[in-house]
Amino acid sequence: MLFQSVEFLVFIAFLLPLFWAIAKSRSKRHAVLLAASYLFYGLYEWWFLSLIVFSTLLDYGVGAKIHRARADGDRVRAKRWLWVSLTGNLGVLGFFKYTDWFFNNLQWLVEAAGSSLDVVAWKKAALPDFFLSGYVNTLTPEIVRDIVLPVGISFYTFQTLSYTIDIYRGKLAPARSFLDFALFVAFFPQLVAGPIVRAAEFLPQLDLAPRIDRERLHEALWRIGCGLTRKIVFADTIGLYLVDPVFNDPLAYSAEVHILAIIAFVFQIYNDFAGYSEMAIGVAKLFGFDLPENFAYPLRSLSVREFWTRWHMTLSFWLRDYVFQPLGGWRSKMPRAAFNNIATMVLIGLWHGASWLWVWYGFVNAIAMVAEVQLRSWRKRRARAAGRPFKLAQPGTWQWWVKAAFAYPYFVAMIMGSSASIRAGTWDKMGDMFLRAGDQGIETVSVWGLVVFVATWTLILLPRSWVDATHRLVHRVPTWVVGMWLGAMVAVTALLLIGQQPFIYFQF
Amino acid sequence: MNPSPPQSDGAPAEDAVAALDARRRFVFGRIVWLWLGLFLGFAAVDAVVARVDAADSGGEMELGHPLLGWTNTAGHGDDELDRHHDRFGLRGEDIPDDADPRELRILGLGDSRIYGAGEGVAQADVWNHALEDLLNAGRRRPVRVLNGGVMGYSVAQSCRRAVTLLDAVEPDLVFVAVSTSAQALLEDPDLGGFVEVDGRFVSRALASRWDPRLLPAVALTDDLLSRYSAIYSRHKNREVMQGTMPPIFLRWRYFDRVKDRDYLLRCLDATWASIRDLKAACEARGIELRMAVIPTSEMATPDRWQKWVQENAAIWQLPSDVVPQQSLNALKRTLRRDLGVEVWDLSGDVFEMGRNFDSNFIWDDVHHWTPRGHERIAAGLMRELLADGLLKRLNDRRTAAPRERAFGTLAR
Repeated sequence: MLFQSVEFLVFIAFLLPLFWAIAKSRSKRHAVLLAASYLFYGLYEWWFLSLIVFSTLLDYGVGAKIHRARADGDRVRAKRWLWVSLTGNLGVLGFFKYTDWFFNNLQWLVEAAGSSLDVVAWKKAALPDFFLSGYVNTLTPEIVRDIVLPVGISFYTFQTLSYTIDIYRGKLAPARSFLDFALFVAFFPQLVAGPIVRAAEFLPQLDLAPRIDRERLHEALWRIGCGLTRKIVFADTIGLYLVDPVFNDPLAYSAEVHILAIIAFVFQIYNDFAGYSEMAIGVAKLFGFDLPENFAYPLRSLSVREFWTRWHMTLSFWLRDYVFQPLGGWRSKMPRAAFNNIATMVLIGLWHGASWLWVWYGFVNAIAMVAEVQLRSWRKRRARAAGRPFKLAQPGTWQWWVKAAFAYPYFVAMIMGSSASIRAGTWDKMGDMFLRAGDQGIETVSVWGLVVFVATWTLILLPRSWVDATHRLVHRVPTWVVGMWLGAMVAVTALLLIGQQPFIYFQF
Repeated sequence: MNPSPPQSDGAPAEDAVAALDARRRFVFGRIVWLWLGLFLGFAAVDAVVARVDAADSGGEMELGHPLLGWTNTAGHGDDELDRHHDRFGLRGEDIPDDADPRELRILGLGDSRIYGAGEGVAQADVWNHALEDLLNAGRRRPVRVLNGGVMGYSVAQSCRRAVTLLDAVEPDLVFVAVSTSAQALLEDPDLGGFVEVDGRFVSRALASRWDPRLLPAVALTDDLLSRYSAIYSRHKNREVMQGTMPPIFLRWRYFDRVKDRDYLLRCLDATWASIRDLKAACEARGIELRMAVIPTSEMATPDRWQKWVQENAAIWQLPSDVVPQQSLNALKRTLRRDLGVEVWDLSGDVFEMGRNFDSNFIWDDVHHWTPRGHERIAAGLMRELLADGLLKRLNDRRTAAPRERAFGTLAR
């Protein structure tokens, strides 16, 4: 069920009054939300529910075992149970997400060794039919998958892992009940495409009475409307009229159109994912829950390092806290710190998809970040040697603007380069884009695509104070005015909806 | 509003219960305002879309139609080409409000030939005007001949359109022009079509998504939304299109491709099903139905037929020695014997027109009729109307049961 569908409108129209009608009873309201979440998820494929239930049972049980082992002071037993959780969750995720890639690479190795063995065919024959999907990734159709990728599995797997790891670290007590934990794993607004919510952020909210007031209600409605607009008006339109025509026929368009399309793709994926996150946050607020923010103006960053603290923040911070920091982070000396960063960023790449291009994507970003850290460290040393204090330029000062003027083109080129590798999907297509451009110029691009391109850019540059002022205004106006805005956005969505484009991040 | 912590047993404290009650009342109170706002916001955008559509539709001769694929734009006018549609999208003047309740109405449907396409064919040159002149000469009671031709239409589309027009114009006789061409007979079995539910028409695609017991409610909702929501109408229209390409182009693209025999048979079955549906609808209303066999210009002369077979035989898997009369006879047999409909045979008139091809067919497109060709077709139709006292029977029937209203509303 997509947020931008009539089915979801009906779903929410029934669920919201029902939830608030029984809000007095903690167990009833949680049970209703859990049932609704399973319905929401089960409508994709009913058997996907078995995976989420497996993950829930496993981590609820393991969480209790780890807690007991810690209480007994038995670190070894706690660690053993943590490994059970890691193996179980990452095993399921790895099977569905990476088996195809593993066998494709194995096939390549087998052929390189001169054997005629068809391991891919063997894999297909060994799997039950319902696993085999003939699934085509709409983002990179060249990456053919035989095994279906259950929607949202990358998101909820990381959520449940945060639970067992935090209990192991002694930062979290186990959930009060199985119902609480199941709801944490399956809570429908963020189930299929994040934000990735940690147990420590969500479980305490279950102990509070659900909160709603005029400000929260208006904020929720406003964010749902903004999310819809970002997805349908900005992301889908720019994809349909500007990005897809160029990427689907790379040999036809000139180099400048390719550059435009690559930037447009950054805008598309940003609006698509940020739009979903906005809607998820808004929908959760209607039920009294707060979800973490996932984006903080990432395209205003001046460096790749800064970008990763503003883009898909719940994933970046998850990997920072559970992978990068335990490896030693930037505290380690070079080259170990570089390794820590490359390992983390390659994991970010592989989290997005199973292909060497995604590995490349992570690697390029990691190298850029290592170079940035090295440059800053060199500047620090130079300042120290000269007896000057090393200070970062403060935003808004002239020093900051001068630095921004030099840093921004570099940042844009980096993001564009890594985005191009995502969208191209294959090395051949990347070659077509950069080396064998055609002669169709900007005049052949749809005017609608260009209009939305300029509008997106304008919104990215909109001063933060204006955005804050809009939020304050939304909190003050009557409810029917906010409803009218949302109604208008629903109408625009209905008008522009082109066969319901799924969210890009559903595929990760 | 600070939430109160729960009591140790998990039940909320009393002040928390009071706060929850207040929040619940707040939510339910706001939901009403929220729905009002949602409705107003949606309606405002919908009104803008309706205005845009109204402004656009005046310029387009045809518009996408969820039940028919596409159809003529109601009220369209083009002074340069002298093409004007009435309120139902029929090529001609509007039926006046004070039309004689006993006037005879003949509704003819078909493709661009029936519409009167082609350069130099003015509104008054088309067959329906010529037939009307012939029928009204020396008669006391008027006869109105309605032109239901639409560019690119198949026989199945014409039949479906006829069904939607029956209650609106209450004709005494309906005829549908039919030929043995691919455009006329082959209907994509997977696209289009509708079912009638309580006097309302619901597209097959929509009907197939609902339980049959819910169809009356679906048809009512669909009808209301179609009347009052421009956004909904756009969605319905989009359903019959693939992407943004108008269906009329889809049809032409579709004819270029070689199809297997089973698929072609399914296409033919879709056409026969539409004729059966029209026959049933006409019988239910006491309206006469005729299928008028009017061959296309490819059959009009032996030379053109030979050339056409050479160019197209491979696509349609035709034997190279096939002659027009064979396929026409097969068509007439199917219509009469298998479908039980009466047939008017105007093939002789078309062959006659072929003897003087340049004066009866427009020289640059060679498919459509010149004003003289239209007169010839009108004369052929007049002959069929006079045969066996059909015209008199129709006249007597209408005299006995005059119409209660000049015209009705078109099913959407």
